[in-house]
Amino acid sequence: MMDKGLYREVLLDHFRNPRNKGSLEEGMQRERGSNPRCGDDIEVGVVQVESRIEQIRFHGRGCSVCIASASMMTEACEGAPSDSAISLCNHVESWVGSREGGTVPHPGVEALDGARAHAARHTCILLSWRALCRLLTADAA
Amino acid sequence: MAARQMNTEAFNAETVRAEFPILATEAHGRPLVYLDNAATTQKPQCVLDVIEHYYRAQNSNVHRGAHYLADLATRGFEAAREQLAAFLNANGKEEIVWTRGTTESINLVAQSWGRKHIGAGDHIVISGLEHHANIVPWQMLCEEKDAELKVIPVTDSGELDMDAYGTLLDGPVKLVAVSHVSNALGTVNPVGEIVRLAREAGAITLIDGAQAVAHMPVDVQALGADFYALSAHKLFGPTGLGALWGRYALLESMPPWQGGGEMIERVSFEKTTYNAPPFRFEAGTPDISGVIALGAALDFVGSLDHDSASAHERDVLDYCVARARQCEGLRLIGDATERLGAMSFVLDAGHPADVGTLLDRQGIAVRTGHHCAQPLMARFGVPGTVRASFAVYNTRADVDALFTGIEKVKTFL
Ligand SMILES: Cc1ncc(COP(=O)(O)O)c(C=O)c1O
Repeated sequence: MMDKGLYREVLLDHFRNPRNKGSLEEGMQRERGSNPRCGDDIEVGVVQVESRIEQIRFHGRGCSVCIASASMMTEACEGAPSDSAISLCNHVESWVGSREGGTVPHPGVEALDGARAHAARHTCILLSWRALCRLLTADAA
Repeated sequence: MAARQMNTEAFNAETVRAEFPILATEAHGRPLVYLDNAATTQKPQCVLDVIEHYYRAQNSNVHRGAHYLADLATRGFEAAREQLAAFLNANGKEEIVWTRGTTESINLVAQSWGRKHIGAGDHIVISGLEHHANIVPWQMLCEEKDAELKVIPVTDSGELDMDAYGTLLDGPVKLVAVSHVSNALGTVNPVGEIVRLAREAGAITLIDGAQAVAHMPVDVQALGADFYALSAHKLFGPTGLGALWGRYALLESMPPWQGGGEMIERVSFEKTTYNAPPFRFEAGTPDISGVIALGAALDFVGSLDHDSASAHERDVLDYCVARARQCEGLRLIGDATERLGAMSFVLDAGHPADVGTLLDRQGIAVRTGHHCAQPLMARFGVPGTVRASFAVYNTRADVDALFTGIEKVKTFL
């Protein structure tokens, strides 16, 4: 099919069946990410227990890349120590920014490799990661 | 109807297409289908030639050096001003001010006329269909002057609510600024009526003609407005150039807004006196090759048989809208009776950004997103739309390619 690069099967699967997507529960820490340029608007919610991400969810609307990336993020970060999640967010940010090459930050985000080649889609990929990073760093401070 | 059919036949789109070299481009290995004309139109060979010729044979500054080249450049520059004045049926070339585009034309009026005449409590009326270029300059002015921005609401079909407009005019309205044709939806606004009512209410009017001039004849005197703004690049001309038409008496009453060369009459450190319009508003060296190239673009438009060209454009757009109505899972955003140049839609199958990317991979260029009209997107409750926009060189075959592309997108997402 067309555009194997950008729309990998794994990415489309995360878009069609997003993991951990749905309304955020009472008491979750929340952070919103929005990009008025294309109308993407999501909110990430986490429950941290002893500096570990016990639970992570998101809801909102966005393009396939935005939703798939958020879904992958929740899988990659669930159960992780909060400080390693912050490092992962930063690693994803620089990996996407470099557009090609570099080590894949996490096996669960490899399917974003095609999308990061498109500079116009960087904000779509990073919207959820930036929200999570803001949430966790504000909390750690 | 029969006459229209005949006109369509008389129009030869292939001949017109052949004048635009870029239309032969391949995009991602597929023939380019360019449906992003509301963003910018492509340029015919004659425009490209004139730009090259200018730098090879005429390059000089205007209105200054008394030498051979300066004279050539100045004459070309002023001849194009005359041409645009005739194109708009202005009352003389002194009513045409060169700017960087529609955006700068509107800012000029806001900063020069607006700062002089708008005061605390005054109302400025715009519409819910406006491009950010016809929103933000007025917002800035209102903030500075403690004036109020009022917005004509948009109906579900994407048209202006004229009853609500009438009510807004009961207020202390000093200026009405609306678009002739909406860039996001293609709605043609009833600007004649809007201007007439505004005048009765004693308000000045500005029409944003960015999306109109490539598609319809504009007669500023018949329209009766006070200012008309346009961009050359949406009219087969170069980027970075536009014009403001203004009634001469109004232009003459306005203070300069940028200072520098050209806009002065006499400068001393004690006092500077200003040149007359249009030069008063043209500080600095202008885009000389661009202005001369716009003249060539106007020649191109003039070379088309107007009736058959506009019948052809209407036929292609009507065909596109008809196809859209039959397309399952497609929702038109805006469905105005009077529509020109563009059609906006969303697909159930996917977010506009994905639709745009997948169409692009098939060589089809559309615009996706908010089209610099975020308030309008909010009005329709969509994050953005996919917009197919047309020029005289588009054909029914382009529309067919678009819908073949859309069917592929639907199976993919
Ligand atoms: C209706 C309308 N107004 C204003 C503008 C701004 O034009 P420019 O960017 O050429 O200044 C545009 C361009 O998209 C437009 O469509």
